[in-house]
Amino acid sequence: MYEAGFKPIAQGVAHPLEVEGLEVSLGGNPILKGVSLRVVPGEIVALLGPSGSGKTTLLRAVAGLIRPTSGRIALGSEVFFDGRRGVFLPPERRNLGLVFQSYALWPHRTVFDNVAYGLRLRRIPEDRVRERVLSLLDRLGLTGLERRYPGELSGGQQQRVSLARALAYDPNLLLLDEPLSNLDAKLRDQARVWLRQTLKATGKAALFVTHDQAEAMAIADRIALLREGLVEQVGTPEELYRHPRTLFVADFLGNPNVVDALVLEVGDEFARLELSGFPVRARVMASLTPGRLAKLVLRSEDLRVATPGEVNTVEGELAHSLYLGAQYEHWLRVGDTLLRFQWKQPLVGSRIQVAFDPEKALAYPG
Amino acid sequence: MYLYVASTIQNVDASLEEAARVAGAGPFRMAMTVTLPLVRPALIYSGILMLLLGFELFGLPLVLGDAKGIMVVTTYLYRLTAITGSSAYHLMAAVSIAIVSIALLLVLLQRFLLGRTEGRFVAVGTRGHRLERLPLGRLRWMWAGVLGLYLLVAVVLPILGVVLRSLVISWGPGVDLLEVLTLAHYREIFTLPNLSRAVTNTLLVASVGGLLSLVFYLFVALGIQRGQAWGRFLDYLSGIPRAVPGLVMGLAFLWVFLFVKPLAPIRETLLSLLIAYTVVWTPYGVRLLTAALLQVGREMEEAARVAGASPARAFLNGTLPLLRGGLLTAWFLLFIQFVREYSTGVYLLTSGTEVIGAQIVALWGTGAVEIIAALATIQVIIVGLVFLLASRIGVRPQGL
Repeated sequence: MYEAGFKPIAQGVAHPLEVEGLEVSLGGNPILKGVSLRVVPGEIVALLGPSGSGKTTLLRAVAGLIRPTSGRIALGSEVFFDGRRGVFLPPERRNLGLVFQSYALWPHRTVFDNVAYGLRLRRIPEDRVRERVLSLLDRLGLTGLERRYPGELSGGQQQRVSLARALAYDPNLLLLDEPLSNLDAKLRDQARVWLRQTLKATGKAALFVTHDQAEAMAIADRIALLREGLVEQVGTPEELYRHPRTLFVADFLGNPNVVDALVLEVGDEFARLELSGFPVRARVMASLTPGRLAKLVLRSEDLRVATPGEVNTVEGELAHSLYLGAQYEHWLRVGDTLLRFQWKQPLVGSRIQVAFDPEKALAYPG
Repeated sequence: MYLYVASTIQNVDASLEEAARVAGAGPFRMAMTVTLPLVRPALIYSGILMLLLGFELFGLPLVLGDAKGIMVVTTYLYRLTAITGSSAYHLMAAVSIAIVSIALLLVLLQRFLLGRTEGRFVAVGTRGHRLERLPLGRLRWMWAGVLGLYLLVAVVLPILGVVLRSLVISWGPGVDLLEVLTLAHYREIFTLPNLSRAVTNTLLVASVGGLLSLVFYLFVALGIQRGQAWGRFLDYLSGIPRAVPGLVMGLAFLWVFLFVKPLAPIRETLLSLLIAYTVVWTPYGVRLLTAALLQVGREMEEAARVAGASPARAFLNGTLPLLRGGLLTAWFLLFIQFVREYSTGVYLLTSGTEVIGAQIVALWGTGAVEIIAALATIQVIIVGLVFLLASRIGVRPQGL
């Protein structure tokens, strides 16, 4: 439905973004320690990670606002940065669109002039600038606001103007730094759908930074999870959620229970463990050693109240029950660990038995 | 010092203080245990600054102490020429070096004390709403009275005295003020070429010169903000003039213009004053502009870069328009400082480079009190008018 507004000015061939072995140091501290990533045209990739993981640094390095120490960044045949050959293309020659976390709209320019800036720098005739800006504002639901100043707009409108400014000159790649973090919670939920739809309609490769896992999963085609300057895992949201390669990934996505369990016996796919005295089966995610402690990841939505005769169960004492509207959140004390799980009904009685599927429980070396 | 500490106290996050109040501390206890420790760096900084200023002070000791034979290093330096009867450059150089090294020591001490405290005292946080005032109760009136009296004695009376002195022929017991009232001194100022030049030169140096040094400070501040390793070096470098009193700096530039032949023609133009003033006020001006730059986020400029603007263009389009307010404030403040400046110009005073401040110092030796009073009044009027104009167009003359 948005297609018409995003017609490129000059038909260019879309190229994939390739980042290889990128290292960045800021003030002597290594921030990125060899990051490789590929984003193909039309694909939205989220850079996800805790603060300090280097996700914003990676985005700024791609934009050319930071000079990496080594590695390579290229868009198709155009080399942005090559540490070995000493190539560094300044940001203004990379033809990228960047949406800042703070939007960074120029407060002394009208909405129209903000969006037109990049076009005017490219010496596009004024009548075409006008046509392009107005149609873009129209597509982004900003009709009639072109004479306003950014200070007179709501947060959501500013965010869209910022996106319009980044899209105006038909950039080869879109970069977004925490694009939704300045919106309030309710607006953010709507903006997710809108942003994904809009980015998809442009057909451009998009790279966006977020610390919000739900946002990353909702918007992105693929997620690159960063940890301390390295890519921990790249994959579709479902891959990362269902098949997290490491405990870090499993723990970062969702808000699972992570409990200690003693490894009893290790098989090809499943292992037998002991969780506070209860024998359970779980998926082996990495090499486990019998007799050692393992970390068991149990997602709260994968735990259910056991029906009589069910296997793979643990029993505990109900510690807290929180009413969350759609469901209850129960906290079960099993031995000296607490297990959190969601359930439709309130629970009665103090001893509760919960069950889980072995393939949903993930065991990592402790 | 008051302004510096006051602005720091205003920047203390109110929630830090409120936390103390909620924890059970009374307002006074809160001030002692939370607010004061938080602004300790500001207190140290301004304390040493006062020491430095006191050390470099030249005008007051010259006027008050000189006749009674009380000398401080700066007035001693000034008098050296008179004592020996000939230009005693070697002695003057020695005294200068002594002054500079003591001052440099103080500056380094200040840096050292502040350097250790970085991070623990970041008091500039999110601006919570201001806490209600400390209720002083009945003490309030007394306190207001004390402050009022202090201002009256320290500021209002002296200025009134100067203004009055400039309007009378003579004064003393038994003189009827109405009979001796005259505007003759002002007439004299505007007829004597060197005195009227002093007024026009002062205005010229303060306005045009202030603007030129503003541009210079802007480049230095940009270098500090963006130069990384170079920036830190520039930062240190721009702080050094703080250790050099205006009098010594003026002397140094006099020698530069005297002994470096290619530069000699500059000495008799206002350019000499402009250069000396710019250097003397570098720490002040650069601090003003780095603060102004900090207010404008880098992102405005980065957004322009990404959109396709060259670095210079991105600065002109993205940062400069937002910097206007800060630049205007800085210009006003520099104007005021340049008008008030008296010690730097003393040694650079030639026919053609008179400024009010230096002219007053030069006239002091001749005992022309009426003219001095009139010149000083003009100076006060200029500064006052600029102050008024500044607050009219919404520039807050803070941090003076």
